[in-house]
Amino acid sequence: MKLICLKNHLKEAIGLCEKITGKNLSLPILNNILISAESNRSLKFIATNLELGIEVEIPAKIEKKGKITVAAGVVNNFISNFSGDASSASGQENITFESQNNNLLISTQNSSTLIKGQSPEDFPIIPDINTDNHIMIPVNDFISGLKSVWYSCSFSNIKPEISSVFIFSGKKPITFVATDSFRLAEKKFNYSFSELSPLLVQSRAVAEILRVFDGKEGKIKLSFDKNQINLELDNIKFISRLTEGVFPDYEQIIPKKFVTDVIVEKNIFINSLKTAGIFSGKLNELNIITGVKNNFLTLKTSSVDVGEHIVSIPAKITGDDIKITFNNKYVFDCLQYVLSSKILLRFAGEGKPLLITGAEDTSFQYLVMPMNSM
Amino acid sequence: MAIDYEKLWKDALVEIEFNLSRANFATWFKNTSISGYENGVIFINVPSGFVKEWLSNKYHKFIIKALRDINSNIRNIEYCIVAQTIPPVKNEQAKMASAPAHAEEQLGFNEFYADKEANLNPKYTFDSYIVGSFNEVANAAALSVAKNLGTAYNPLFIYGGVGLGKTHLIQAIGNKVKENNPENKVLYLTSEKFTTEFINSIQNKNTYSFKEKYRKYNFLIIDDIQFFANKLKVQEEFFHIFNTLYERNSQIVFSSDKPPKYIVGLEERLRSRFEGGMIVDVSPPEFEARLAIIREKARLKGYPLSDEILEYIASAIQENIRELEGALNSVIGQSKIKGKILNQQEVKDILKKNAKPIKTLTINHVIKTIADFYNIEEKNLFEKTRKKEIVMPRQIAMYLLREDLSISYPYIGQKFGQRDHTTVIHAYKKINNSIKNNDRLNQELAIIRNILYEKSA
Repeated sequence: MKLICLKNHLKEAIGLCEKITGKNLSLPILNNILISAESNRSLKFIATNLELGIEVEIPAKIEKKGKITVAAGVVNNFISNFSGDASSASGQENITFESQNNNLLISTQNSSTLIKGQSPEDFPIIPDINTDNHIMIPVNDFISGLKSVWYSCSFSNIKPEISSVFIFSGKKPITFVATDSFRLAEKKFNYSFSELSPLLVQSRAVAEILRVFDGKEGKIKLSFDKNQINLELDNIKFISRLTEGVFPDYEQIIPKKFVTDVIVEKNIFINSLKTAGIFSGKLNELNIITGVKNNFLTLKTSSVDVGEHIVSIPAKITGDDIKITFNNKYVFDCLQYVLSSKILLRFAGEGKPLLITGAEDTSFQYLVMPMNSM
Repeated sequence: MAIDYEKLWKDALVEIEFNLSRANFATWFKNTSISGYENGVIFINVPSGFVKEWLSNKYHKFIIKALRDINSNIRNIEYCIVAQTIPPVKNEQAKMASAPAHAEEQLGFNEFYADKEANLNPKYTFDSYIVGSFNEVANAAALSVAKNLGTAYNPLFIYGGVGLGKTHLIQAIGNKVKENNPENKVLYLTSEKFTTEFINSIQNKNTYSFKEKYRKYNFLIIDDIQFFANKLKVQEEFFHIFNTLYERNSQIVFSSDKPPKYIVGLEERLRSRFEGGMIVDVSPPEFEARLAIIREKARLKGYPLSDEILEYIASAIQENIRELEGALNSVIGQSKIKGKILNQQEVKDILKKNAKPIKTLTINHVIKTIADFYNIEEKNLFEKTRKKEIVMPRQIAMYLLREDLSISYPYIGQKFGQRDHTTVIHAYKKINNSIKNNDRLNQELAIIRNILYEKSA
């Protein structure tokens, strides 16, 4: 294998791949990136941990075809710190890759580096699926859908279906949902894909998808079968296993009746929660008290070790007075995903969930259960 | 051609293992199995797309050779991805430990967990049921019912006092049966709920669909069956449902706070049916079992309590597991409010407020209850009369005073109008003998005791 490519392309591709590599003791080759020069004009970087896989293609001038694998950490460290020729500050610098007996020789105008590699024979094959079954969705929306909900996934692996983000559409608007059974986040968009079957994507995979595709533009191609999804955008192809299982029938838990509605300014509420968070106890308890008469929402936190804090913020309140305790973090987590300047808090009563949504924009809904008050 | 898939695959794997490095073998052949064979094609289940690609591209030759060496009819292999249902458990405990107390205070969406159709609470399982000598028979019977649905003990009747885990046990059977085969139609409900539904169906004039609803289940669990007492219409309806289910070998499980014999106001035909299967009791746990239970509960709540305190709680609360848990909760709650771990004296103070006073029965109380029960005047009991309707209650009173309150014969005699102590001994012996073969007397005694102990509690 021998080829020439540009440093900034390399840096991006290797950076993306490095995070996907696996730390698998029985199969150490998963720590490697496969560098494959099989066509004339492009070079592929492939990495996988047997759960996820990524292929990044960059333009390159291939002089001799071939492939090689090298330790991802080493090559990434090298490329990202390598200053190369001081004269070309733009990063538009040519780098030559050459394989020599399973070793990778990287050379520039004035440097030469040898990185030990391994035979590409043992590198896993990234499974492909039939891409007939696919949808095209704006990558911004896809990322925003995942971002708005994925922090609500359960961290535990006991129930894989709730440590995943649930994506479904059909006749309904495409919807992203996640829950850890204490809170639930749902984001909807106003279009649907009749051909999309419900998907459960592991939260670990979601974290990587966000990292890889956040900030990109255009439409992402999402193809799927029973076990796997492929995401393709520009030069990047990302694959992930799907979670087997059935997401709980969550719509039944969204309350139909509410006893108190509160509308507050988003910024004021966020800042007040931040301050209150300093004083919340070990369990992050946050007492919320509504004052219907004077239209103030009172937040109260106290900690045995730190102190106490009470703040009242102006709000528009209708319904009954209510006093209820929540986990401060759970309430706070969702607020940045509410896309309107005013937040609507809908209390369903003691021991029942609180619904948080935008006063003007209801595409995002968040449900959180209270804590046992003591 | 019948093939033992498991053996075939095991033999083939031995062969394949020779040709591969250990690491490769462990990575790619873990969780694989043969799922079928048809017209020369073997179907192999693999856990993921990666494994499928790898096996079909790299190891296909090895695999097919190994298989053909064993069975020459095999021509080809199909690989099918079957996702693993067993999740990795490795980091679980570490994670659980890092989120203590959280689960206790933060409420969750319970609807996710309750099995709506069967109405079972998944937290009640055999794994979380602590077995001791006080409940091992009931536990064994329950396990055997879960294993041999409808054929082992049908119906199974479990009785015991409040808060001893009857509900836990019968729901555990339901959960186990569901787990063994999700196709099983299981329904758990309380007799109360059954009654309400029945009354509603009469009001709405759809008794037919009510009957049909229950007849479709092949495992029916009814909790607290004693509340059927004196509801004749409900009993009749249930009788028919019971018969239908029983004839079809559908399993039925009941729980009650007393054995069928002692449920007053239960129709004879229903009672005899309840007794037709297996009757087991759950008695109050002994000290060691209480300690084991409370230790487990404290562990689940993720709150450290010293052994002395746990032992103290287990010794202070004797009869009822639910109260045991309540006591533990209040100790933990108080510790949280005070922000420190309580010492033994403080725990004692808390439990003093909660614990029941020790039952105290007085002689007058016993006599009054018996007089009320037999609908005679108290003073009649002391009269020197040999009327049958007086003699019997008087003897029962003497018996109870001796048996339950351990009062001396002469003192009892003195109480009952200066009678001789031999009269009392005679009464005691007479009742003691009659109990053995007089069911009616037995039942009456049970009811009287119930009234006595409940009132004084």
